[in-house]
Amino acid sequence: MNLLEPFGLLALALAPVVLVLHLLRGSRQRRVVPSVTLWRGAARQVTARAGWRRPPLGVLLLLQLAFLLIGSLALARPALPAGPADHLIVVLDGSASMQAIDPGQTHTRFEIARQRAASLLEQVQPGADVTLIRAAASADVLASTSDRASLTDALSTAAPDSLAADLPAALALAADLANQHPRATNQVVVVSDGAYPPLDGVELGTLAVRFVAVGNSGENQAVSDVSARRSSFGGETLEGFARIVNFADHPVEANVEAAADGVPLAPRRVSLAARSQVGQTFSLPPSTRRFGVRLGPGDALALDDAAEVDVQAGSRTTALLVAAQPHPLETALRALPGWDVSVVTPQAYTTASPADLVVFDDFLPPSLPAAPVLIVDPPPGSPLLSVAGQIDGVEATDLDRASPLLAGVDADAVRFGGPSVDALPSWAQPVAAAGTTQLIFSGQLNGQRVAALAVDPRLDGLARANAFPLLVANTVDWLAVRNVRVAPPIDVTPQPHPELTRAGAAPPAEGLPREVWPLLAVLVVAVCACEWWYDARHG
Amino acid sequence: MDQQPTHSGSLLDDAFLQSLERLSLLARLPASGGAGGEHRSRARAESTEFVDYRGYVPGDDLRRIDWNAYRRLGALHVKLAEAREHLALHLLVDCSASMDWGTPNKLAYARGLAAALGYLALRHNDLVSVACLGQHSRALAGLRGRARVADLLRFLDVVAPDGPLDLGACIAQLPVWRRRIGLVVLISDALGPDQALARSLDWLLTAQLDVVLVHVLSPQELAPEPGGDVEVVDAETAEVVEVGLSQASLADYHRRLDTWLAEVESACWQRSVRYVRVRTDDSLESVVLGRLRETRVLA
Repeated sequence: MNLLEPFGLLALALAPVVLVLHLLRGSRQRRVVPSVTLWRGAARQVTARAGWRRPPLGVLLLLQLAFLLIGSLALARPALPAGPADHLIVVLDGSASMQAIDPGQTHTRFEIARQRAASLLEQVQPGADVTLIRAAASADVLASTSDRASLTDALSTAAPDSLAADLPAALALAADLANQHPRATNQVVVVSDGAYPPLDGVELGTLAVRFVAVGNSGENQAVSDVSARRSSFGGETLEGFARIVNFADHPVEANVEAAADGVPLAPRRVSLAARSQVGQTFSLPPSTRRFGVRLGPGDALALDDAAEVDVQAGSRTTALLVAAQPHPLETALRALPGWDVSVVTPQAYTTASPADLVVFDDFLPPSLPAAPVLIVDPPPGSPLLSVAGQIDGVEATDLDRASPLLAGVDADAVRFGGPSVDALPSWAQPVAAAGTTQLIFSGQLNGQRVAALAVDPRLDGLARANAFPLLVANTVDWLAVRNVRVAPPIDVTPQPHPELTRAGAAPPAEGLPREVWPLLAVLVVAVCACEWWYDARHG
Repeated sequence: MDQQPTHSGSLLDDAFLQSLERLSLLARLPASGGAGGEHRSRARAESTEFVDYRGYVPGDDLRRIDWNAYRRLGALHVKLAEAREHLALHLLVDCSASMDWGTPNKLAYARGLAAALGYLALRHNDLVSVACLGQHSRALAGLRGRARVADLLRFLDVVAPDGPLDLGACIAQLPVWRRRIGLVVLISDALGPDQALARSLDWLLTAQLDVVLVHVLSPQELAPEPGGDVEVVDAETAEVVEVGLSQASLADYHRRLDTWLAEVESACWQRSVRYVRVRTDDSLESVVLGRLRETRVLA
């Protein structure tokens, strides 16, 4: 037996006080009687003047000492050792890829994962604690209890979402919960399709982790980057653009259906190589207000098979250029048909300035406005982009030639100079890079499209090259697309993730100790009752 | 265990006095309170009450010769008549400190009882003496006739508790019965040194006195109330004893009390002393008109 609070035994120091109180001849009520003759013998006869008396080892003293002893022991919280308890932590992948239905299956991967988790619950010993975590955009604890009914309810109501899963956050949460059960045998089971990069940097401590894989194919095609633009070189021609992505490991033929204001355009069959993407251009009626593209059924995930965009045909749009030196960017912007360009200095810029497009040249505010943004020549020191050093006369070595930003741009013939952005922001996709230096990248941030030309157009003759105005026009066209309803393309290819299978540390020799103070408290009450009975009976 | 004051108002009320008119003391021994009384005497005195014959001797009063007996028997015999004398009543009131206790107070009760008995005797022209026994005993003797009732009551009215008492030694030193034998009524709680009561009774009996012990007890002595731990202090010796007034202690006290009461009664019975036990919550009327008549102290 162990004492969890040994200081509780200090209460035994009161034992001498109890003895002293019994030794002292306390003051009693005096009563005159005709004669004490009849009171002698049975009474405790003492000499009237004695202040002390011999310790009466009577029942009352023994009961009070017993009360003190048992009470002190209870305060010290004695505990009996117990065997190690189990604690199972199930991390359920709730990412968008878990909505995929693999070939030959009738249930989604998430439903299969739910069934796997349910079978894990059945194997747990009665009384063991189980924690269910759903890993989605955030890590959520669905339940943490030993009650099977509660766990089953939580499991049945769990659902995936349409975003990527934050597995590192979910595993960190699992590790924290395991630390709250130091005396238990903690085990983490990740039920997932693994459709994400390896998690090598995740700190799992001494946790035992097991990976339960669901899903067996990457058979997914997606529609991405749907846009529509009026030709930048004038005229009434309206073009629709869509990129089709193939995540499968083999070539596929995809049926692509497009519609202008709901009116189907001629369907086409697109051939896609393994793990490749192709762009498709569609001629739209000049008055088209909505352009949509859909893939035919047959792939694993339908979530990313369709997209549509609102087209602003015939309306002028405003562009706000924030620059201390607006040239040559202002010239390139004013050349775009349908754009009204206004220029302000960085000092005069406020986020309240309304515009359909905001262009920052050699300036970045603390936060981006609620509008599409083009960043040119980003300055160092901004929290939005990490700029370290300068580049001069570099060639782009990595080009996403399918990107709409590079449509018709001879990027090979261009030299770039200016700030050196080595770290691609998390919201961006690379378009052009020179080794580790990102030159052109784009993406979505806070629901708005953002593109960055991390180069100084005033260097290396970029502004005089034909590529520059075309690059600006493509970028502005891409940025200015409004009300895009498209899910990001999702690679549902399962990955094994061996880093999520580890034995962990040896289980503790013993579990949480079983405290016995409740029994001692009952004994204390019993002793008090005996003392009260004895005092009432014998005085 | 509360106490009442000992000095209070009139000892006897008129209604009680009237009821006493019908009673008389009963002495088991011949009276010696003087001729002319109502109680049988040892002396052969002139009287109309014939009790026996004896032979004529010269010098006898010729008027006492029974001539009928002479005609029958042919010899001269004289009639013997029983003398009637007054009763000598000695009232001994225990005034020790232990009597000044209880509710109603034992000493006050003893004073009232002594007043009733004294009044009764004076009404019958008996000789009454009264003594308050204590550390400094005092006595009043030679009372006779109704006219001395007031003196008796005045004497009893100023009776006060008087410290510890050795009953035997105190009684032996009283002067009241140097000349008179008669009826002694000892009114006491019989609490005192060991064997003191026995010694006092023995002394009284050797003086050829007819003794009645009226044993006065308070209800609180007979049934003390339970309580916690207390120190009981002897009213006469100031001895202190720690007691716990628990049920067990009280049961033990009752056993000792019963034993002691039996011993007192036995001591009286062995010495042919009439024993009357009274509680101070018994009315004087019930004791005088009931208990004392039942025990043949009064008629």
